[in-house]
Amino acid sequence: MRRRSLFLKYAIPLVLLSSGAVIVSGLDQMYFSYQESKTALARVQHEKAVAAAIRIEQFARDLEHQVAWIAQAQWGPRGITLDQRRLDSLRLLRQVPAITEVSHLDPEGHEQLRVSRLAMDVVGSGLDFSHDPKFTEARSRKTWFSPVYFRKESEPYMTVALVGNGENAGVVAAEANLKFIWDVVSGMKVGQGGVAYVVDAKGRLIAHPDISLVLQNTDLSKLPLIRDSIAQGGVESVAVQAITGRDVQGREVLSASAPITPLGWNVVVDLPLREALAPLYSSLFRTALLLLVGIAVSVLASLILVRRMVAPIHVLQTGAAKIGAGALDQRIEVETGDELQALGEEFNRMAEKLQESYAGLEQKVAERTRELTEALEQQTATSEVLKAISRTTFDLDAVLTTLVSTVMRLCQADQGGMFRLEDGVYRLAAGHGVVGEYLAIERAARIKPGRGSVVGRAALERQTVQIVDAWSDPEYEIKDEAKVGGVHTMLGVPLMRDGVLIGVFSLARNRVEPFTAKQIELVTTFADQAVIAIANVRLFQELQSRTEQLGESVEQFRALAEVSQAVNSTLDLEQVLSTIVSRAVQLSATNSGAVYEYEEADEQLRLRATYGLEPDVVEAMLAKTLRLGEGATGEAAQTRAPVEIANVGSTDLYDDELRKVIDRAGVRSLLAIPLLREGRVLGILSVSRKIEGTFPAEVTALLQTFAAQSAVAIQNARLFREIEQKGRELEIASQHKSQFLANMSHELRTPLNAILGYTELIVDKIYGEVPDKITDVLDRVQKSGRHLLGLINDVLDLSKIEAGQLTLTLSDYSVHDAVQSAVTAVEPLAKEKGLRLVVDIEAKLPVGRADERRIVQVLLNLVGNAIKFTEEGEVTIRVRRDNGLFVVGVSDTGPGIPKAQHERIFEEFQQADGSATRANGGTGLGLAIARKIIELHGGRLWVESVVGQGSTFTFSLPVQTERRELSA
Amino acid sequence: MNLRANILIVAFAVFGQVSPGLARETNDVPVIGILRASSATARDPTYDALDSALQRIGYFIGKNIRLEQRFAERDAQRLPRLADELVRMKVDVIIAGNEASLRAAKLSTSTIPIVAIAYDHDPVAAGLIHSMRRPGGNITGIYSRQVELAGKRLELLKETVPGLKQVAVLHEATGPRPAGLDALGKQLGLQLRTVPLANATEFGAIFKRAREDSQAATLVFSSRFFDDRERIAANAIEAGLPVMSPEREFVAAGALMSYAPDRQEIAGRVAYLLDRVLRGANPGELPFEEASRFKLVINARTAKALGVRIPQSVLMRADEVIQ
Repeated sequence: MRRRSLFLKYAIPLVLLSSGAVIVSGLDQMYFSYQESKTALARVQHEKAVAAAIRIEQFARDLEHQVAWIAQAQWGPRGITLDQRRLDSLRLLRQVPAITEVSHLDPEGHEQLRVSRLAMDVVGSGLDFSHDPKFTEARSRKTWFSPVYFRKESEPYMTVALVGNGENAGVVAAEANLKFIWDVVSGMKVGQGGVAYVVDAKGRLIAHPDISLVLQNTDLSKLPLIRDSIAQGGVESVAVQAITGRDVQGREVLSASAPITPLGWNVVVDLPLREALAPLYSSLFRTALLLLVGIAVSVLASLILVRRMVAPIHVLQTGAAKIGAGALDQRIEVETGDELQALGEEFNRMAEKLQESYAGLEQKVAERTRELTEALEQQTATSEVLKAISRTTFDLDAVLTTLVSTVMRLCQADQGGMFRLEDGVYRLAAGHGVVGEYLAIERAARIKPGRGSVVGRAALERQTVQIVDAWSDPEYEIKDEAKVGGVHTMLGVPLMRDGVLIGVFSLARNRVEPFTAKQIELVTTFADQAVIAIANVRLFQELQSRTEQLGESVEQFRALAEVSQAVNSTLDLEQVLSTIVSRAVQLSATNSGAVYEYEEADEQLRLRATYGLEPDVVEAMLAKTLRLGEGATGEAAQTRAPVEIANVGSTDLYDDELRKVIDRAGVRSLLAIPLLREGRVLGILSVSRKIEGTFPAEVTALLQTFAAQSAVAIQNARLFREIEQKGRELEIASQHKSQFLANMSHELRTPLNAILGYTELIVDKIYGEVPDKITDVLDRVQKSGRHLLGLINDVLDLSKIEAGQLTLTLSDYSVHDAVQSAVTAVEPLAKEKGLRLVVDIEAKLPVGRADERRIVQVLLNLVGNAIKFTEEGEVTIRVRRDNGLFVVGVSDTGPGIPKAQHERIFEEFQQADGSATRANGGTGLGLAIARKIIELHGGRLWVESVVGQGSTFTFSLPVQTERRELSA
Repeated sequence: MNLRANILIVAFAVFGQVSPGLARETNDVPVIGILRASSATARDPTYDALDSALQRIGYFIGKNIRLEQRFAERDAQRLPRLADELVRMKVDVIIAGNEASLRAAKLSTSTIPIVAIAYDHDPVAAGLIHSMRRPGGNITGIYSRQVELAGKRLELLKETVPGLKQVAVLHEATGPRPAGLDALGKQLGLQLRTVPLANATEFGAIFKRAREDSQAATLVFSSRFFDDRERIAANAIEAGLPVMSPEREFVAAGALMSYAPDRQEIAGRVAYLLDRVLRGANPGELPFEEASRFKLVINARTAKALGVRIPQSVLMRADEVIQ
């Protein structure tokens, strides 16, 4: 702030002084040149206006002359004809395009002729114009230019009326379209944006390059410019003056006017002020520019002067400020050779003094800082080590290495090592900085307590020992090694846990420089940390090994569970054995395994399942059956005890062939466990490894458990095989029976037919009269024969069904008809026993598809049975449709069937009650056959009955039976 | 330091003030939409004249101005759709050539300026503009005064054809029947018979029939007649009928004579109005102008063929005599 105000204090008066003179003279010059230019411009404008006025006056004069020419014609008898006048008028129109109409008034002011460009010519209209200005004014003035008027309010017109010479002269009035003046004004060039225009005596626009303004009948009399022009009254003004003002569009213009005398009009020439003054402005601009340059030069000069005065003060101020801010080596350089320079030197002296007193203070601060830094470093190192210990409890090497390296760094040691007590000697557990041959020596070293080495000495004394220089210590024994490692000063710290020595921590320097008391204290602290770390790791390792053991047990239990599940859930022996062998191999951590089954019959072992073996090996093993005592497997079968071979190469259990197989599988050791069941060998489970060595006792125990499971599985499988075998035999026997019955029945039927046939012939008396006694007997023969035939037919049907030889002949049929034909057949029987036969069939049943003959057979059987077993009451046949099935029920009011018999009656040769058979006859095959037939159709036959309340036999039958495989 | 900078700023401000206004520049060339009732193949000299009039004031079609022409092919019902098309194209100004076109354009837009060439109608009488001085809305243009020339034409015809008693007034059947004929006939002492024309093939028969009772014919202006002028002229000569026509081109095609507004003047005024409108003038504020020059054209060859001697009073007024 101070600088600026000083600068301004000098600068402002100087600048004002020097530039003021320049400005005054410049402005003066500009003012006068502006005035002169403006006057010149006005003169030019005025001249343009005058020129335009002359041209427009010329236009008016021309009109006047042309009209005057025809106005000379006289009226009356000595005058010319109307036709002549018309031709003259037409010629006038032809010559002066601006004239649109000419009218001729006779001396009395009556219109005699009117010739027009647009309207039709009018002859002798006699219209009275005697009081019209165009007549009266023309009369009094000779020539009369009317005020401007607007046709249709937009086209400017003027009447030019003239009176001819002579007594009988009339008046000729011509209507002139003033648009033609437009050619004059628009033809005038007034600068770039200037215009010339014409206003009449009242200030109305008559001609303008923008004809729209004219056609809009613009009144300009309000513009001050025009007012002035009108005020001049068309008199040529003596003092030529241009007026600045606004034109009709509101632009600022410089305008000049000139009157058109005969018409009382004014020509106005407008030039936009900006354009008019453009040259003036550019001259002013040049002047102004020069003025500015002058001002700039004087200002610059003033500024430079002031600057020279203020600059050294500025230097002083900045220098003092820097010193004040603490830059004490800062020196102020002012070379002005005056009081200012002296002031600068004073400042410099002051800075020097300050600098000196600061130096002592700094030193003290530096010392204190160094101490603090060391403490901090130790703290940091301690925390690092603690962190390492907590992070990597299981990795002892890493912890110890961190410890050693940290301590070395803090104590400026070059080499360090952690020795642990194992079996009475100390061995290197972790080292840092120890390299090359010395590292090998140290690793190999087994140090006993004793004064000959730093580790031994510390172990012996159970406290921290220091050897200042190993090379010259009289008691130090391994000087050569120390020389190899290049170590001089050595430090040994015992590691004690609960008063028990567990190791030694040693540090060494490759120079002679004893460790300070502080460093030794530090090492001791770290030694305690190392003890904790070692203890942690030991605890952790124990925990881990326990956990692993626990995990294994869990794994074994799971495998056993799986195996027993496999044994119990399937009878597929291969699958069970495969599961057992695979789990056995996985759990015993071996490479491969196999299960052999022992055949007591030929005393041979056959391969049943393998795991982890190449297919070609398996093939070789399958090809080779083992005898008792052959290989480990055979040996185990013979001894009924586990056989272990730790090294395949050193056993004589194998012949060449077996050895080849074993070598191909890469087996080096194996274990064979016998599968025992009630003292009998069922097979062998064996596992093998690709490495030599004995199998742990747990593995053997585990595999024995597996072996027990395998034995169960093999036994189960054998039992199952036997059952299956028996089943097959039974089936074959049953088939034989059916076949036999079919053949038998057929063979029986033939002779029986002969018996019946001949008997009938005899009864029909073909062979002559038969005594009544014999007829009676023959009746019995016939009855028994027919019963036998029915029996044989039933047996034949049944055997056909059982032999799978019964085929259905499917065709479309009506259930209604089928029921009806059955009813017709049994009706006489029912009538005979006095039973009512009721038929109840649902209406509109669809056409079904089945073997109709067989269905009728079933119905006959069911209805026949019902009638047969019912003594009184009724038998009802009911047919319903239910969901794509016909449901046919046959109910009776007979004795009923006990619940226990419900299924039996459907078996062959069975009836509910043996006595009934005897009473009612029947083979006991009907229901069995009926059920088979319905089942062949895909339906079902069942009975519902309560003793004493009758029975209902119902069968369901698909409406549309499909052709199906017959399964008897 | 700061003072120096200040000087520069002041100097720049002074210079900046003095620099002249920049010329208006636009990348888009203005588009003039032209709505025409005639056929695209018909040639209308008004537009040729407009072309050269535009060139005179610095507009060159295809360079700094573009035309979009739409032809109704004499089907007035197509005009509204064509007008809509031009409006959708957002042309800068629309030129409408006859009453139907102007009406269609006026209905299509109230914003795009319309420059009317009121050839066949009086725009104030037709109710298309408010007044000549201040047309209002978005329309300006020029009024040809064609419709006011009917009497003058009959007068010239009567003067040219000796013994003229009856004149056939041919007008387009679909157009309005020419009004005020009775008064005109009375004034001139002529029988005027209106003859509507429905299609071009009728011309021959119409002229033949007209010749039976009329000694001359006059045509009411229509763009259809204009397009068919060759056939009309040929049929008229064939029928031996002098024809007074509303356009110079009929005479060029062989009609006897025409009295018509000066096409050059009209084209010049249209170009002027287009220029004003394109520069942003409000068309409703631009006075609707009137034609002020009219041309009498005579075909001497036809006169000879028809055996008509042109009287001096007519001949002296002729602006052009086609030999």
